[in-house]
Amino acid sequence: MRKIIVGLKRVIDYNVRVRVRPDGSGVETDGVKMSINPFDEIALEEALRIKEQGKADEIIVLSIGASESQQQLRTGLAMGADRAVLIETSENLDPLSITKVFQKIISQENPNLVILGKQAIDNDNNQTGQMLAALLEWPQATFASKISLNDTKAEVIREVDAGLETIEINLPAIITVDLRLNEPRYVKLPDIMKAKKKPLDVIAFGDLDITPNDAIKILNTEPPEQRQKGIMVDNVPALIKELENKGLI
Amino acid sequence: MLDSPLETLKSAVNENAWITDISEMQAYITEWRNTFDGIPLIVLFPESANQVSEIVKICASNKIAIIPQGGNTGLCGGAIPDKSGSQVIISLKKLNKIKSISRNNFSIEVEAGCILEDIHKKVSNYSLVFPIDVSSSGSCQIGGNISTNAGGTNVLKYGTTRSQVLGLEVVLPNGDIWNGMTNLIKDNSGYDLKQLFIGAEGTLGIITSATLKLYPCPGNIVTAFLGFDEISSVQYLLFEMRKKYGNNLETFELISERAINLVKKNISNINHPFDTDYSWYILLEVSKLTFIECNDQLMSFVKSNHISNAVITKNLTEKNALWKIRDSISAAQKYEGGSFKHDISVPPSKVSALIIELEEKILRILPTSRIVAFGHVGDGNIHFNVSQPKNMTLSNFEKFRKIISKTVYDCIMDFNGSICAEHGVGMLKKADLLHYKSNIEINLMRSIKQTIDPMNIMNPGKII
Repeated sequence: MRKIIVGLKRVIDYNVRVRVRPDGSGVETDGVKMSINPFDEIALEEALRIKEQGKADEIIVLSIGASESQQQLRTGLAMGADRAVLIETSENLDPLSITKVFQKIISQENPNLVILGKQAIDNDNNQTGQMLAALLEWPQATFASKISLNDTKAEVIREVDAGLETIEINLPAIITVDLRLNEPRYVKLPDIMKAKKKPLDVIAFGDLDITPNDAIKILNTEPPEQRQKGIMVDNVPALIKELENKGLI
Repeated sequence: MLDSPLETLKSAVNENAWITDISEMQAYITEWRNTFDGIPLIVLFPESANQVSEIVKICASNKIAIIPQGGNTGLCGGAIPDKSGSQVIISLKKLNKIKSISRNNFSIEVEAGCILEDIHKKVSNYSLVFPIDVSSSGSCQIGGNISTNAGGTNVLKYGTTRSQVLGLEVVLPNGDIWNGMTNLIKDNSGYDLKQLFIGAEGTLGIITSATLKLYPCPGNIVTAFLGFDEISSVQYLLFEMRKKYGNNLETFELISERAINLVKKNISNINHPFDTDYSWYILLEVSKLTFIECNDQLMSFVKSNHISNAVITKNLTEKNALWKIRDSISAAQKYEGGSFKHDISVPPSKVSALIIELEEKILRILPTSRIVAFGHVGDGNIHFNVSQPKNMTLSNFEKFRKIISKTVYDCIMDFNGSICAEHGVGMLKKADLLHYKSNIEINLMRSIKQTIDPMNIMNPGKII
């Protein structure tokens, strides 16, 4: 069976104005809209399209986090994934620990493709895909904006600084996706119904026998300095005077 | 020699806080739909209630007419002067301070020129909401919202602007400043004077500050988009949703197939959720409901054949995409030539009956006209617009304006509705108001106006 594993992370919705907790211990998540990391949603959409082309048989969505992540997995199932796995933990795991979880699940499921978002919009780490390729010793194609598959290979167009780069990699492989790859579908009613009956396995992180990496500790979170309100000046001399007053020229 | 009134007016505001050059006035003398324009004597930008009072006193002693103006986002000519070159526009835009927020009382004190969106942003920092929300939030001002008793998309749950006002500060037509800035929920000490100025469109005084109600954030809201073909389903869906979810029903917006198609045709970056077309759509929002619960509810509507299909948004990006469709309907019609717009309301239970009857009557008069119906039907408000036929010139189409509007308004009367639901009267519907309101009502309005503004200097020529 040709399987695709897709990672889905629960994050603060992209459109929410993020607020830092007054004590600096992190950002406010109480009562805040949570969604699937947008890059992960694009990854899932791509997996669904691959399956719809008859090039995959099963799509498994995998999330690592608190119990509430089940909501995002259910949404993934409603989009069209076949089954879901939640590795439940209340800890805030770093990318290497996350990668080891993926490695473990991959060793059990034997997918021939893993599609991930290029990064999660909460921590912007952009590490899991690359580290996973290294741990598995699989080929990787990052920042994908177009993916074409055949039985043994994937041709991937990557968004790089200088423009677009086309590469070919052997399967199984890790692909991380960029914003322009596709536009994810809306979920429609019958699909949401079907999603309720699809399997969602919850496994405690502690049962995986992975020691969390503690090399990174978040010490403090601060909001960026607030921008001063601008002023309107009437003419160029007034502008120069203002700049002089501020000691900028 | 005594200064001329013009010079005295200039001295009542800060240095250069006025415009007399017509070429710099465009933003203040033309409505955005270009239906109304005027030529004033001067545009003044006072920065305090005292300056407003000073201006009004000067105008009163010289019998100069005053046109109070907020963000100039109106649609009925309520904030536009006549063309005599003798009227004074008082723009409130520099009275734009948010004075204070009381978290314990759930209230905020603002000056009249505060932009609505700035109030939204400010209170969101406290996890609170100010519920009045209209398509022009980015430029309309709260003073204008109060003066027109603005509606918008949240009326279903929270009521109109009137329901949000706790207190007002108003400069009266004689220049007196009435300080009614209370934040009392209960206050039966005589007539509730603030109500007079809410929705008065600046004809009784100039609102300079307000105390407004705030509400706790409703938390997670689920947004869905429903497609169906029988307009009569609207009544069933609305009734069921209100019965089950009460005050948690946040939004219930109706959109017709033609409205959607115009948006798809004329507005870029529209992400329409369905592959097939339906005759009608509803944008629905419910708070304190999960994705799965919402799904179960909507599935029951599918099973009872009241809707054909639905999507439930999975993130705010999709929610914003659906709202973009809703908010683009007005703009999308602009590309289709002339349009007779009717902002009407009926009891919510009669929305579908009204639409059926109106469509039939209008198509009998002008079979090629293109009807664009949409609106906040949860509160009974419909925007029933009749667009120019494709094969007809604008001037020929204009010949139908009178008969079509009369047909719409007569029909509204049969349904015990209102010909001005949320946009107000201004100059646009003044004659219609006289025609459709009873003598008793018109006479009462006139005597109120006469008592408070005996010289008729406050926004003359509007409403009555």
